Amino acid sequence: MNKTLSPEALKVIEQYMKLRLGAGGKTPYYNNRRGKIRGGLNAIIGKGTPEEICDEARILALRRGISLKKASPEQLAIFLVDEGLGVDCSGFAFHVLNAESKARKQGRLFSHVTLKKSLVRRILAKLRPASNVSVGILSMDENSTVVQIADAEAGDFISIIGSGLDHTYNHIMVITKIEGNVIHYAHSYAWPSDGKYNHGVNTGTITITNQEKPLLEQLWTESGVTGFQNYTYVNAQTARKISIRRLNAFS
Amino acid sequence: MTDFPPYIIDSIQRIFAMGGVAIITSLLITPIVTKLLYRWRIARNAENDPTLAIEGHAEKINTPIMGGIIVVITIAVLTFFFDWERRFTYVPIGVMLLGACLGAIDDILGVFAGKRRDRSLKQTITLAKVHQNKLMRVWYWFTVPYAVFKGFFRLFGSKPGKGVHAHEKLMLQFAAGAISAWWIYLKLGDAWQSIYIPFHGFISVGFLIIPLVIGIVVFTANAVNITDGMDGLAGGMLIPTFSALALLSWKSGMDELAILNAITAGSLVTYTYFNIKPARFQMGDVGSLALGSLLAINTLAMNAMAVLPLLAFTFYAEAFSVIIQVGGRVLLGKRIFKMAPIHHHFELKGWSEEKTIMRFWLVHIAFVIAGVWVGLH
Repeated sequence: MNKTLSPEALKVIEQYMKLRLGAGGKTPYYNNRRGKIRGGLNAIIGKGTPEEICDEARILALRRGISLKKASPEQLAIFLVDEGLGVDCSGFAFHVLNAESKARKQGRLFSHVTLKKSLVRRILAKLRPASNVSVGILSMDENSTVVQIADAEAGDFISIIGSGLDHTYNHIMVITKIEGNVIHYAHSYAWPSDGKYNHGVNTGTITITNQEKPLLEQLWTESGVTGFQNYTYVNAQTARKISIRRLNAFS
Repeated sequence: MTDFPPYIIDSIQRIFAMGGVAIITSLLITPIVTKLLYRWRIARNAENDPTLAIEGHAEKINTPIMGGIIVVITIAVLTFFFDWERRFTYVPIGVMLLGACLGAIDDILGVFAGKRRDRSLKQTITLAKVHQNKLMRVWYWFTVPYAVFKGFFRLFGSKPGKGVHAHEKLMLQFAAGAISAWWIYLKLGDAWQSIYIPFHGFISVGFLIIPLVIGIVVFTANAVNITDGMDGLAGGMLIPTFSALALLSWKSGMDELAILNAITAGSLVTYTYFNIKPARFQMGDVGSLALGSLLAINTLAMNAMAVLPLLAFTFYAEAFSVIIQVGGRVLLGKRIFKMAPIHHHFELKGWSEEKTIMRFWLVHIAFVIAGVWVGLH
């Protein structure tokens, strides 16, 4: 049983949490519903690796004639959000799980993913894997299987399908550590209370109070708050389907 | 010592003399053009020019553009008065002037015009559906293919600015290429329907020479245009290229073309003198599109198409760096280079502008020497 993610995958999360720019700062959340960019760079469509986001930030800073070397985390967040740089939940999950897959000697994550698309779309998807592996794709039975709360491991993910008031939002959280009855997760998300600049990659826990009960009846804690103050939990409450899943490649 | 026949000495003297005359003529034109460019403030502005943010580039703001017009005027005037030959020079000059006009419009619009409106495909279709005037609805439906054509350029990163848009530029360059193709296919004779391959001989391509010529003219013009991004870079590389063309065309017995190339190289010497850092003026599209077209058509006229990749190596490398960068962005979602064209990539890696330019010159000269060697076979 994997209690924690591999050091490689944890390093990816750490890099997202503390970008190598200025005084460091977390990667903002990128809302891929707002930014409809076709054929864009991974970093500006919410699918970039931490390195890609940092490189793009440096280039954009150069173009704007500003230096990020001494930027505080707050200044960095303002710059990144205003420039449209960040990572969405599936982009974050893809890169973390990809690192985990490589660390487990399973090769690239994408090689284990079934897309159910035409040949041309599959070839194109191979070129831009992060852009083509969504929460929906990872949550397909061809790619992952549901696991019980008691069997959850690091490297599994929590799939939240059809959340929001109109039940059209999907979300994904990667399980990073199992510590006794506590599930640690990391994800990229924005709470309404985060305002314009204070969102992004974050960590949280789900304390299993009763293994017999569903996930939504456990204790969700994030940013020091629980229950209905925890927006991740609130959002999950609206989901049509919520489950812990394990990639078939990790089974 | 070998005694050359007098006619060979005569032709060499004439070629060198015209090169010298070009240096002097352009030197005489330069103060007038410079004064006008400064007076009319046809200068580089910071708008839509990300390269100006690179360290040390801010000083280029307000440097006059369109300095390439000195070269264009010198070539056109000297050729008209001293080298006007129906078979070999009037079409290259025509194509060069067409490129210059296109470049001049772009330069002037870039400086003086407001941001141009650009209707997207979606907007066109919407108008075609809802416009109150029936005739206008028909017109908008009629323009849908053109909107699709424009949309294709947008997909690859073309941003509508103040100057001539990428799709418009390509259409006009296509026209210049078509004129070149018509001239080569119909006027120069059957020999030009075959491509000379060094060490091998002629390969007949028939009418396929037409798309080949159009493609080469358009690509080369844009390649030179793309390269013109640093003080002295394009000018310094065009001098050895046109000098090599002068040598190769003289060797092929095309004295008129050799003189045209020598005039171009000569006028570029003066231009580059004033263009090296800190530049008194920059070439602008007027010069780069004109000289790129001229480079392509002069090479094609002497049936040296196969040598062009060597003679224009660095220009093509610059153009391919842009294609690779766009391809990388669209297909892979990644930047292959820190910035394209590739000379900016090296700058961002820490090379100074001077170091980048001089190394590019030297690499280019090496390839031009290789091109001459191959071309002499």
